[in-house]
Amino acid sequence: MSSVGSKFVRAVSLPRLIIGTIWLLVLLAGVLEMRREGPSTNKVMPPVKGDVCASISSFESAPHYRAAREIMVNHRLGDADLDWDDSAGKSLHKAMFVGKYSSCALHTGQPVVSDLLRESPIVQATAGHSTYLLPVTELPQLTGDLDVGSVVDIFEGHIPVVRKIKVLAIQCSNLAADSCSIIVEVTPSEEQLISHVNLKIVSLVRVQP
Amino acid sequence: MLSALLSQIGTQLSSKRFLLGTVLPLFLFLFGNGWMVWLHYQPFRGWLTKIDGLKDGSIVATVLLTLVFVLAYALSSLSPTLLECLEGKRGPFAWIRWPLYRWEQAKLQSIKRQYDEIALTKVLLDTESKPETLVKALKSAEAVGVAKNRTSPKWKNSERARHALRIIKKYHYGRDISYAELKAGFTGLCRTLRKNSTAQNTKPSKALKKALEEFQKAIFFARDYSQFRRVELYNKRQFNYPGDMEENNDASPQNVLYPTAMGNIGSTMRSYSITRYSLDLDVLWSRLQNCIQSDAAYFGVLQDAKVQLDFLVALAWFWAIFAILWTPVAYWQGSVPEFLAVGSTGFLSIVFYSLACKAYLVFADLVRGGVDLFRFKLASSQHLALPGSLEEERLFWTRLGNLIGYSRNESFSYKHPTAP
Repeated sequence: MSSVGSKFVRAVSLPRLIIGTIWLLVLLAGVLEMRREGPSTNKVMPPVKGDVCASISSFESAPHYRAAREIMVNHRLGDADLDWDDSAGKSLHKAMFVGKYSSCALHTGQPVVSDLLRESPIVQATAGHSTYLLPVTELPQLTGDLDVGSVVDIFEGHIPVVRKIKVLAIQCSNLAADSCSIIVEVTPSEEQLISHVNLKIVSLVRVQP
Repeated sequence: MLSALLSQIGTQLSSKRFLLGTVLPLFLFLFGNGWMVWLHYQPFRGWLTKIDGLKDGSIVATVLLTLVFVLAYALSSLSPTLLECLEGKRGPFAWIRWPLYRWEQAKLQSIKRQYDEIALTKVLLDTESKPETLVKALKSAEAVGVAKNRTSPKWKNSERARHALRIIKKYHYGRDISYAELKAGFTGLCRTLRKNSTAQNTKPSKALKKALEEFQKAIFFARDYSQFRRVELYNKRQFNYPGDMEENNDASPQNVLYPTAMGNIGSTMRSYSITRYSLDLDVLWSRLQNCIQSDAAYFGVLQDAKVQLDFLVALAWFWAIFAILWTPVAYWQGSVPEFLAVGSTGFLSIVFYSLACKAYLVFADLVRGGVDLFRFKLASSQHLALPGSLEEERLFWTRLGNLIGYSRNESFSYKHPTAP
């Protein structure tokens, strides 16, 4: 070992140096991977604006309505989701909430302000999957039963095309929710199958996850 | 064994030492984990925000505080185990002890090698090449050069002059100078002095004169520094590793290293008392502690050092657990800054381990001091006559250790204190 090298090793404990270096490499790899995935990452519950989800208690003093039921991330708010009789929200318009998407999970009774909502869902498929936008304009009644996390089978007529597909979000072009698409998570082979489906005769069947 | 016994230095509950050594690190750990749960577990956040009013808050605070104290008490009984894990006697470091042992062995060999080199320099400067002799030789060489009445303007560029200038530079920066380097520099400067005058009123001549004066100082520095380093390395050896600097052929468990720096520091306490007095702390520590406790001031200092050690050991473990537990969560659910912030706590664990090693050095020195100061009190507490010489003392402790620790048949005459 060279003189400089041996002096360095004498000053720094090698095992600690090795453990520290390994940990540093793990962190660097993690950062690179996170950057590679990009800002649109939506692994589980990324708040859309900073940490609004982490400071819900601070919204108690702001005008708000309360969640009337458990609400998941990316859920499209409807009439039944909020308690419109709450006096804390009398200065707010329904339109500020209905049709918007929750940026974080909300429990029943928690205050909901517009800062916690976003105009469109932000989704990302898990590893090995991709997202697929499936228009279901012909089946408006079905979208009412579906929600984030629903699992569906897709049929073309009476023929099953793909089974147990996870719904990541429901996207609608108007407030009446009569022109919606579902964003589903599919594997490459499922994507192949689903892309050949005649969308005019597609039907969805909700199944147990 | 001794590490576990040393935990008896622990303190009463509710004392400041218990709060500092056990409750505080646990509180920091729980706070950190609570913060992460708050960030990533919605029901927990919802539950906390629902706690409203003094009554609910008081109940929850009381329950949490009680829980912290119960956990702290459990942790205080766990602290010897945590220490033993860092010492490499059990747990993860014991599982990978072979490469770690090799490293500790290499470090010890490196200290011994440096010590031998520096000791050789010291011996040679004390005998073969005394500084006064070297200075005298330089002055003789200077006289020869002065007689030549000329100085080369490029004397600094010669290879032999460069050796001398290198030594002067090392002296200016307080770096170690080996005997071989000093000798080469001395020879080079002598030759330069013989060919160049230091008495002329020119820049090169004045520079040579200045170099001669500095080199003379460097010679004395090399002698003093070798003595300084020799003592430093000797202390490093005996405070960081069990056993003796000199090779010892006697069979002794003290010649075996532990796989971690902390383990070897811990082992020096037992090694010291065995090599100095043949007193085995594994056998006699509890009795010796009783004697040390009679001196409240000394025992207080010992307790403080132990608390500091326990505090740092607990933090080293807690930060490691925190980093391993939460870094993946921050990766999957958090942002890059959060991931880096949580991940960097892994380095804190290494920092606290290093600090714990330093604290262990202090604590071990206090225990060694306790052995020196209170061993005769220990003998008296057993109602035994004090040994008359060091040789007798070594035999005395060996026999007492055999009797108490290993139930061997030893003969002792009691010396009971006379009634006042």
